[in-house]
Amino acid sequence: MPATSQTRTPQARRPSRGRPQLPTEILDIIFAHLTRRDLLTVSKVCKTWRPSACHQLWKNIDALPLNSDFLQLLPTHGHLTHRLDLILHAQSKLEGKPNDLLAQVLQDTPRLQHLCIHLLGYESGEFLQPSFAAIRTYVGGSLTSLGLKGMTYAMESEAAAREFFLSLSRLTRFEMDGPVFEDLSLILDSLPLLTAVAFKGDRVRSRRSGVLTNSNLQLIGTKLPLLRELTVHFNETINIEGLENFSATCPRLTRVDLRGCQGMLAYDLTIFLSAQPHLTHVSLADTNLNDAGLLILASPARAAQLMVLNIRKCRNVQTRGVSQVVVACTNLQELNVSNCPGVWMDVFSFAWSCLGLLRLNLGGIQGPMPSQDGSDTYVKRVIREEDLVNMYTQLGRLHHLEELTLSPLPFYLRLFELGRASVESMTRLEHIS
Amino acid sequence: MSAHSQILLTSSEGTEFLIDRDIADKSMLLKCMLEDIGEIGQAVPLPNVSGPILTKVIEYCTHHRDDPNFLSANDDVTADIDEWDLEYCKVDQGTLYELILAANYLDIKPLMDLTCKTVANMIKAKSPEEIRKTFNITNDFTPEEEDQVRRENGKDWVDEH
Repeated sequence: MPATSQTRTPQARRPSRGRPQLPTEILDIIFAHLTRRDLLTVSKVCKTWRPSACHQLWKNIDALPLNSDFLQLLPTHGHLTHRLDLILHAQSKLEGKPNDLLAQVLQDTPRLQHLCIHLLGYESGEFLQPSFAAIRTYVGGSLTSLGLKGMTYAMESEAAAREFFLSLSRLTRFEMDGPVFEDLSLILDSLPLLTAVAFKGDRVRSRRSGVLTNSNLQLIGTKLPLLRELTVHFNETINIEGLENFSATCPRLTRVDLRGCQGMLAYDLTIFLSAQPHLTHVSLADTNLNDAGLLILASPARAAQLMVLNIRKCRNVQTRGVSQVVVACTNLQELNVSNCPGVWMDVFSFAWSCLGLLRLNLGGIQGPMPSQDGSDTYVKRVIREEDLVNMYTQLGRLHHLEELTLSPLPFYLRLFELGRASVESMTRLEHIS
Repeated sequence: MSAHSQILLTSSEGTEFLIDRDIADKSMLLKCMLEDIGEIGQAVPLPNVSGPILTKVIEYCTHHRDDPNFLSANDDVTADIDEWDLEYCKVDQGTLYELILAANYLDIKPLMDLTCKTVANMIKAKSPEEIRKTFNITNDFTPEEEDQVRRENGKDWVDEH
C-alpha cells in the first residue's frame, strides 16, 4: 500500500467547508506556470487537482521519444495536446514504419499547433513524402509552427513540397536542419505569414550540399515581410553580402541567432547589428564578433532594449565590450559570456546596471588569456583577492538571479557568505561546480 | 464634490468603500460597467468579495495606480515578481485563494497573474505530501486510484531524462 494513503484519517484530515476552493479554470492558469516535473507531482496530490494537471501535461509535450505507453494513452488524451515535440528513433522497439507511426499520432491530436519531429537513425528518403501527407491531412490547417529535424535529404518533388507548404495556411514559425530546398522561393511564397525561420545544422552536415546561401538569405528578406526572428546555425557560407541584402529589405528583426556562423568577419557582424536596430535577443555564440559589435548593442539609443545576449566562445570579445553591456543594458535578463578567452575578472570592477538579470553564465572566465604579442600563445592569469571582492559585490546586487554558472572559479562558496541573502531567492543555482 | 471622480462599492457584508474612479478602472469589470451604464450615483454591490479582501484589492490597485505598464499583457512566465508585489503576497493561503477569486471576478489581470504565480511558486519543487500540507489538502485517492495515476503518469512516456 502506498505510504501516503496510510496517513489518511477522516477526523484529522477533513476538508474544512469554509475554505475557498479554486475552480478548474483557475487551477489551469496556475498550473500553466509549472514545469512538467512539477505537474507530475501535482497530478498525485488529489482528485480535484489531477484533471487540470493532466490537462497541462498533455498540452505541451517536449522531446518525447515515441513509445507504446504514449500511443496507448493518445486516443483518450491527444485532443488536449497543443505542442508536440516528437523523437522517432529507428532503433525503438515500436513496430511499423515511421510514417505510419506519425500518422497514428497525428490523427489523435486534432488541436496541434506546434509540431516538431526529430528523426534519429533513419536512412535518407525513407520518411519524407508520406509523412508530409499525414501532417497535411491531420493537422495542416491548425499548425502555427513546424520543425523538421534530422532530415538529411532534400524534397523529391517540388510540386509535392509546394502542395504541402500551401496546406500550412497558418504557419508563422518554421525550423529545419536539413538541406535547404532547391527552390526556396516556391516555399517562401506559400508561407507569407512566417515571422520566424530557423536553419539549424551541425558542423559536419553543414559542409555538405544544400547549405543556406547568401542569395537564399536575400530571398528570405524579400519574401517574408513579417519576419522578426532569424536563426542560422553553423553556416560558413553566408557573409556580409547576404546579410546586407537581407537587412536592406528586412530591417525589423527582434531576435537573431547566428551561432557558429564563422563566415562573417567581426566587421560584417558590426554592420549587420547596426542595420538591425530593433534587436532584443542576440545570440552570436562562436562567431567572430568583437567589441565593436557589442558597443552597437550598448549604445545609448539601443541599450535599454537588449534582453538576451549570448556570446559564448567569441574569441575576439574583450572585457571592455562586455563591461559596456553590463553597465548600459539595464533590462538585460540573460547573459552568457562563457568561454570567451578575452573576458577577464576586470568586468566586475564596473558597476553593473543590469540588475534584473535572471540567468548569468560566466563559465571559464578564469581561463588563460591570449598573449598580447599577437602570437598564438596563452598567458596564465592569477585571480587577485580584489577581483573576487569586486565579483561578490557585483553578483550580490543581482537580486533576481535564478541561474548562475561560475565554474570553475574557486571560492564560489563565499558568494553565500559575502554576497547577500540573495541566494535565498535564487530558485535555481544550477551548474555551479 | 464631483460625482464622476469617485465610486462607491459594497462588499459582501455590506461594508461601503469609496474609491477614486481611476482605481476602479483597474478592474475591467467595473470599468466596462461604468462605461456601459454610466455612473448612477449608487453603490456597486460586489456580493462575491468580502470587506478584508476588497481592502487588499484596493491596496494593490492604489499602489499600481500610475503604473504605465499595468495592462500591457505580460505572458512571460519567467518574468520576476517585484519587491512590493512579493511582500503583498505574503498572506495566508486562504487569503491568497480569495484574492485570486476576487481578481478573477473583478477581472484585474495583473493581480490575477501575480497571485497565480505566487501559488505556482508555492508548488514548485515539492513532493505531493508537502504540497498537501502547504495547501491543507486531503489525499482522496484510493490505493487503486493511486496505482492508476502512477500508470498513467507513466515514467515511461513523460518523465524527463
